[in-house]
Amino acid sequence: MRSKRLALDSILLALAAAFSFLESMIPTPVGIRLGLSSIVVMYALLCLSTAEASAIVLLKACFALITRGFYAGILSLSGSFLSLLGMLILYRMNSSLVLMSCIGGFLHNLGQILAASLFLGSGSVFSYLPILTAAGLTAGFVSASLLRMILPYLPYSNCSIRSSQFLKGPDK
Amino acid sequence: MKSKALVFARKSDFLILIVLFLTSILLCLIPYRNRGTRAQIILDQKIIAEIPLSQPEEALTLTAAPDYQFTVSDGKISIIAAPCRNQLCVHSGAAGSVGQRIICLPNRLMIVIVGNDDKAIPDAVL
Repeated sequence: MRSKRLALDSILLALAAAFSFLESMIPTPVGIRLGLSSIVVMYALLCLSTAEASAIVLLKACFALITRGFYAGILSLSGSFLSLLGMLILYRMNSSLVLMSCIGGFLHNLGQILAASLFLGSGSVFSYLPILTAAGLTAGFVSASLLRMILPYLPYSNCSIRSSQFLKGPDK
Repeated sequence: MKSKALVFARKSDFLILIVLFLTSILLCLIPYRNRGTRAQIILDQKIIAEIPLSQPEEALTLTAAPDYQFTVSDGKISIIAAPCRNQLCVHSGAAGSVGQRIICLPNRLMIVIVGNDDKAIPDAVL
């Protein structure tokens, strides 16, 4: 059973890394992305465990560090860790999936801006915050909807699909 | 063994999210009204050049940042070549309004558009 779970985690990590790598190849102004890998992280957080979600986030950042350089790795780590932290807190507070995902998207961009401003030694990157907030919220909503659609087909997701209460969380 | 039910969305969430969204959209639209007159090129927090935006279309390079190519046209400046891998600054397009920025993080290069009312680097965004 343990090895089965480990295999699942590895597949999730590969999926998250592939999503983030593919998205990094699409050029956009200010680096706006859909953040499909957040679907993977959210799934791990909701249906597996916090530890597994953190491991995926950490190793994904390592992957970005190796394939896309120091700067991309630091941005990936700071963004996704802040986002994971926020989503974890909201999850514990019994918030809804959409709120969790949207705030997660916003925090991801906020974390990246914080890291970038430390890196640049100036706060002027914060002028990107409004546009990135709008983008993060939109992307968060898209990922939440996608997760809702695919969740019934995933393992460990004892779900009952109803529009209000469609998902039962993991048994702890 | 407690099982937690997760709700997809609540009405109150949409209220929060829509307010946040509209605020951010509004903040995107407000600041960039005035046309800038000069572009400051800042490398490692030092101004290495000031380029007037009034000149006719022109491509230029700077000795302090030899791997970059800039163009000025229609009162706007853009980066057309950069040495970094992700090329974000190239894709972010042209900047011409006061306060607008083009940032190339990997090399700590930044272009800030300033107007006539001269306040060196508008660094007080934080």
